[in-house]
Amino acid sequence: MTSDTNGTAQRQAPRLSITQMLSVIRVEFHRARTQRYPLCCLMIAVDGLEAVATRDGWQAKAASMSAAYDLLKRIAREHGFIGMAVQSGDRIMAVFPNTATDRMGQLGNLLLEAGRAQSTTSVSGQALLFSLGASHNLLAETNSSFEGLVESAGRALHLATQGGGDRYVMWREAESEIEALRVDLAAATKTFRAEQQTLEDEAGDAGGLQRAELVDKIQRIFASVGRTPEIEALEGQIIELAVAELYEERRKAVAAQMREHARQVDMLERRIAKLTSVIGVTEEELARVMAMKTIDPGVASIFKTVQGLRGDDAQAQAKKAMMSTIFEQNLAFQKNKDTLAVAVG
Amino acid sequence: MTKNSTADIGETTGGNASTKTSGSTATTKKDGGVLYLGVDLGTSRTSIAASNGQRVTISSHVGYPKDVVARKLLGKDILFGDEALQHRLSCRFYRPLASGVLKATSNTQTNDVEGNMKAAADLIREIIRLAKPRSDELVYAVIGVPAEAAIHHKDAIIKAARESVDSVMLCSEPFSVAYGLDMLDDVLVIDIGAGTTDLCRMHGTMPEESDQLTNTYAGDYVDNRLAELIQKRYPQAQFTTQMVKEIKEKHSNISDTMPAVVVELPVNGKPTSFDVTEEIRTACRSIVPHMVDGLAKLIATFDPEFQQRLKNRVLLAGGGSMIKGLDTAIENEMRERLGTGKVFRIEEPVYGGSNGALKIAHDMPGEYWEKLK
Repeated sequence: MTSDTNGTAQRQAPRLSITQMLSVIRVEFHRARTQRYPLCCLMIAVDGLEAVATRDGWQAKAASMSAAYDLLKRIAREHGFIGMAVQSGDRIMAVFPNTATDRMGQLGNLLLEAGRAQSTTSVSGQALLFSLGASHNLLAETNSSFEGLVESAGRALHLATQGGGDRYVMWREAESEIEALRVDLAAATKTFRAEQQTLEDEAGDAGGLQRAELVDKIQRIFASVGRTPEIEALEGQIIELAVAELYEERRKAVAAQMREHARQVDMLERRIAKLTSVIGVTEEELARVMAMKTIDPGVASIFKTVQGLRGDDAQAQAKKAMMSTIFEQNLAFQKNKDTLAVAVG
Repeated sequence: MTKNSTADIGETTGGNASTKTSGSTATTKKDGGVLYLGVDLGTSRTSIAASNGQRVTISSHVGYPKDVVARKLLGKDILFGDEALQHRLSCRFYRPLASGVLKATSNTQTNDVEGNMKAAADLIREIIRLAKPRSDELVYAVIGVPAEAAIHHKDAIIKAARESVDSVMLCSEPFSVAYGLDMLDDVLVIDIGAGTTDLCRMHGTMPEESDQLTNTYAGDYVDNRLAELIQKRYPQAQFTTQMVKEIKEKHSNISDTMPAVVVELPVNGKPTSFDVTEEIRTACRSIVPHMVDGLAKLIATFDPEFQQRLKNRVLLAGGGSMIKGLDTAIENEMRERLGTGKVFRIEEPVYGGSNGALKIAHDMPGEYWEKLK
C-alpha cells in the first residue's frame, strides 16, 4: 500500500502473493550483493502472543499481528524507511535495501518505543511489546545467500526473545560466534558427561582389569616361595595395600580429569558471557573501537574446507584432466624457478 | 493469515558496502576456512572474484609519487587504479600490463622493465588486499594471465601473489573465461582486452599452443585509430589518448543505427562540440576483420567434421565485448567469409575471467594446492 506525498490522492499498489513478494525480495538481495550496497532484514514477533491468544481468543492473535504490521508500516513511512514486508503466521519479515545497520537500529528502537508507549494494543487494550531480530548482508554468512540472511535474522530474533523480549538484536559476528560457542559447549558437556561416567565406573571397581592383573602378579611372586601361614598373611596384606593404593591413584587421576573438564566448560561459559556482553555494545562504540585499532578482520569465505571437483559434475573427467594439466604446468614452472633460485643463491 | 506490502515513503541511507582494508594478512594460524580467489590480470582492468563474495575491479594503473612533495600531497606511497590515473602528473606512472608488458616483446614504450614489473607486483598485492582475505584462512588463488606471458613476468606475478596467499597457480585468460561458463567443448573464445585480443579454441581438453592466437587489434588499437580519425577530421581539436579512451568507453558502438555522438574537446582552450559518430563506428569496426581472420585460421585447422559446430559457438568476452553491435558485426563478417557464424556475448565481460579463475580454484584438488605451497 502506498500513498502519494501530499496525501490528496490514494493509489492502490498491486497486492502480491507471498511467493511473488519473496521473489521480489530475493531480486533485491541479489542486486544488493552484486552492487554491494547494504541491505537489512528485520524479523518481528509480538511478545506473549500465545498468552494473548489464550486470554482473548485466536482472533486476538491475528489482530495483534495485524496491529504490529500496521505499526511497522506507519513508522517506516514516517521515518523514511523504504522496504518490503511479509507477514506470515506469528512473524513479520521486512527487508530494507540501502539501509545501513545503524539506521536499522534506529527503526528497531522506534518500534520498541512505540510498543512501550502503548501506541499499539491488543483487542483487550493491553500494550503490545515486540522482539526484533535483524541481520545485514555484510557478513559472509549473510552475503552468500538470502536464506543465510533470513536465518541470521531469525537467530537474532531468538536471542531477543530469549533475553526476555522487548528488545532489538542485530545479528553480528559476535552473535555468530556466541552461537558457535554454545554449540561447542553443548557438545563438550555431553562428551564430558559420558567420559565422567566411564571414569567413575572404572574408579568405582578400582580399575577392574588393572586390579585383577595386579593381584595376579603379586600371587605369582608368592607362588615361587614356600607357603606358610605367615607368608599367606603377608601376601594378603600386600594385595590389600596394593589394591588400596591403586584405587587411590585412580581416584586422583579421575579427579584431575574432572577438574580439567570443569575448567574447559568454565572457559567456554566465560567466553560466552564475555561475548554476550559485547552484544550490549552499540554499533557506534563498535565502530569507534574498530577505527581506533584500525582492524579490518576481512570477510570470511563461505568454505570451511578445501573443495575440489564434484564427482557428479557432467564434465568431471575432462575437468579433472584439465586441472591436472594446469597443476603440472604450474608445478614445473614454480619448482624450476625455486631450483634456479637455490642454485643462483 | 498472510499479508504483504511495501512501505515506500522517504529516503534511504545510501552507501557502499565495500570498505578499504588496512594491514597485512601475515599469519601462522590457518584454521578459519578456505578462501578461493580468481584474478583476471588485464591490460586495462584487473578484477578479482573471491569465495567470500567480494568482487572488485580496478583499472590497471599504478603510480608512485615522483618526489617528497608529491608524496606529502598525495599522502600515499603507491596509488592504484583511477586514483593513480588522476594524479599521474605527480607520479611515476605505470600501466604495467600495457601492450602486454607481461609478454617477452614488451616494454617497447619504456625501458623501465624493472619498474613495470614492480608495478605489476604491487597491483597484484593491492587487488588481493581488496578481496579482504581473513588472516586465519587458507588463501588459494588462480590468476589468469595472457597465454604468451614470459617466464620472468610470470615469476614476478607469483612472487607478488605469494606474499598474500598460501598457494597460487596461473592459467591462460581465455581458458578461464570458457571454464567459468562450462563451455569446454567445441567453442571459440574471443577475449578482447585492451592490449591484446586472445582467440582460443576449446575442444574438451586443455588448449595447446596451436589452439591459441593473439593479436594486438584490441582496445588500445581502437583508441589509437579513433585518435587518428578525430585528428584527421578535426585537426584543431586538442585531446589525449586518455580522453579518447573515455570517449570510446562511453560511446563505443558499431551498428549502422547508432545515435549521434557529440563530444566536447578543447580548441585553443575553449570547449568545442565535435560530432565523432562516424569516427567511433569506423574505429570500433576496424578490429572486426582481424578478429575474423583469426577465427578463420582456428576453424580451418580444426577437424572438418566439427568446424560447423565451432562456427556456431563463438564466445565474445573481455572489456572489448562491450562495444555495442560487435557480436552482430562479427556474425555478419563470418557469414560473408565463412558461410555461417553465431556469436554469444558473455553476461559479465568485466568479471568473466575472474569468475572462471575462481571456478578453477574451487575445482582444483586440495593436494595440488598443498604441493605448490
